[in-house]
Amino acid sequence: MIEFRNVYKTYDNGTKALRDLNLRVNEGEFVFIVGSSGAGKSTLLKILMREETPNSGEVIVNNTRLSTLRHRDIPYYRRTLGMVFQDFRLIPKMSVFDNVAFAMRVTGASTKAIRKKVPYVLSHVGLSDKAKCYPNELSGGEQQRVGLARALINNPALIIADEPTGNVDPRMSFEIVDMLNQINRNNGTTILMVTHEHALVRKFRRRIVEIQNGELVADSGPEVDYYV
Amino acid sequence: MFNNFKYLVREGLRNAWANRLMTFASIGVLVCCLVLMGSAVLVSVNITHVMELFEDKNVVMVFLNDTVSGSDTAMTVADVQKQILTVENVDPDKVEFVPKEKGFSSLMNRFDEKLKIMETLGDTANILPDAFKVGFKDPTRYETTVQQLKNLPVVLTVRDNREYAEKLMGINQTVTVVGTWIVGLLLVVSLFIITNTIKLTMYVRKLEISIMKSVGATDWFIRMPFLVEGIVIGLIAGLISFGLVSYIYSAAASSITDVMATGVLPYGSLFFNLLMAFLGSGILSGTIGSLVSIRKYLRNDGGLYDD
Repeated sequence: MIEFRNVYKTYDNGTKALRDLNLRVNEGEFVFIVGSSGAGKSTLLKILMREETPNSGEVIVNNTRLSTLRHRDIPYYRRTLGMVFQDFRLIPKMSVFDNVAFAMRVTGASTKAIRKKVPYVLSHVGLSDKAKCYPNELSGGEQQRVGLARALINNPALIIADEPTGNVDPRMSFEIVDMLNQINRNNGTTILMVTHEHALVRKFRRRIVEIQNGELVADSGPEVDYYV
Repeated sequence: MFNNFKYLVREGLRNAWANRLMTFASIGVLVCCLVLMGSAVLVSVNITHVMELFEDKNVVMVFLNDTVSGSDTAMTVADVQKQILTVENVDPDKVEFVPKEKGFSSLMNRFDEKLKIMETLGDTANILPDAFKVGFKDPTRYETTVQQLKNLPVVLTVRDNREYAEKLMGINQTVTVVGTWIVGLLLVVSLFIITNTIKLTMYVRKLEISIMKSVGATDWFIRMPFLVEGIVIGLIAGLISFGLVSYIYSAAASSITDVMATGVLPYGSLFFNLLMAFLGSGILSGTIGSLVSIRKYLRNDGGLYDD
């Protein structure tokens, strides 16, 4: 599913973000990526999103070799990913429905398909009754569920969550991660979640990868593959 | 894709309205530019038209004294023609007698219908003298030949078209040169303003663009609303300029016809071309302006994270 081979990334300002990173994530795994800030977690995600490219080494996602991905193919690659951000990244002047529909519209989906699929996904994250609300009328936890619905709408094989619970109160945090956990168990979606919250990591007992100073320092090892 | 098209056009219109102060500024500058450009073209077209009305530059009208058809020392037309032919540079094949009746009616034809009333007055109103249309063999000796003709006793005056033609050509050149510079300058200014207007919209929608990118929007999908915004600016500017120039032209036309016999080209014949030119240049500048600004944005600033 995901493979990092001897990946090095040094930014223009000299910051060495990743140093010889090797990581392999199988399909259907749920991986927590932990490490102090500045350890290189964000760089890792940015490389996966094809926002940054490594200086050397190889990254393969879903059989796509990111180093040879052409610029005009990047959007199509990103459609196979679902991204969840710490700051939710919802458009304030759009309703919950439109925020989720937006991600579908971008792919050229028809209005008919959008009207069918969005309510379905919203019901999955428990927001059916909030479809007409605007982001500022929702709690942090609810906003993140909208973000999650948006990430799910195009049936991604991989969900990348960048500190999804960072702006959510603890009880809601549990709920969000539990949802991700359910999605992983029920759909077999591979999930990569960057987090600082050790309590959550301990609670869910999934694979843990720790990064320090751009190097992989600890890995609880690949999970037993649930879906062989 | 049609769903998307409708959606993207709507987004573009919304952008233009949300950002209306800058939109209006862009439209304003573009209108100035287009109006000046249109006026310069119209002036030039009309001067060319007037020049065509004049005879060949190598031909002059020689107006005669009353002596020809006058009662007392009547000279025949042939006598006068002989005198004219004594001027060495006159081409014998290009000497043509124009009786005053013919000159009068051709003059009347150039005027407005209202002036036709003059015709009812008949010959009493005809103050034109008889004339000869005279062509030259060697155009380089134009000035001296004209002078020689003027010195003939039967000649009242010689209408010297070259002087008019040169003056008009001078005006035409000045209009073209000055017009081109002003228009060029304004075009740069309006492109600059359109670019900035759209850049502003783009920064306002930074979050939206970064989300679009993160969910896999193609560059064209991101570009479309901004393109629509630019085209809308161009289209509105084109229409306003067309209206303004049409109004100015018809106002100017009526006052020019009062003083100049040749009048101006009727607006109807220019209408369609002018409308197309205005809309075309408006849309073109809008498109260029928006594409330039998006190109820069997508290259330098458009990341998934807008921090």
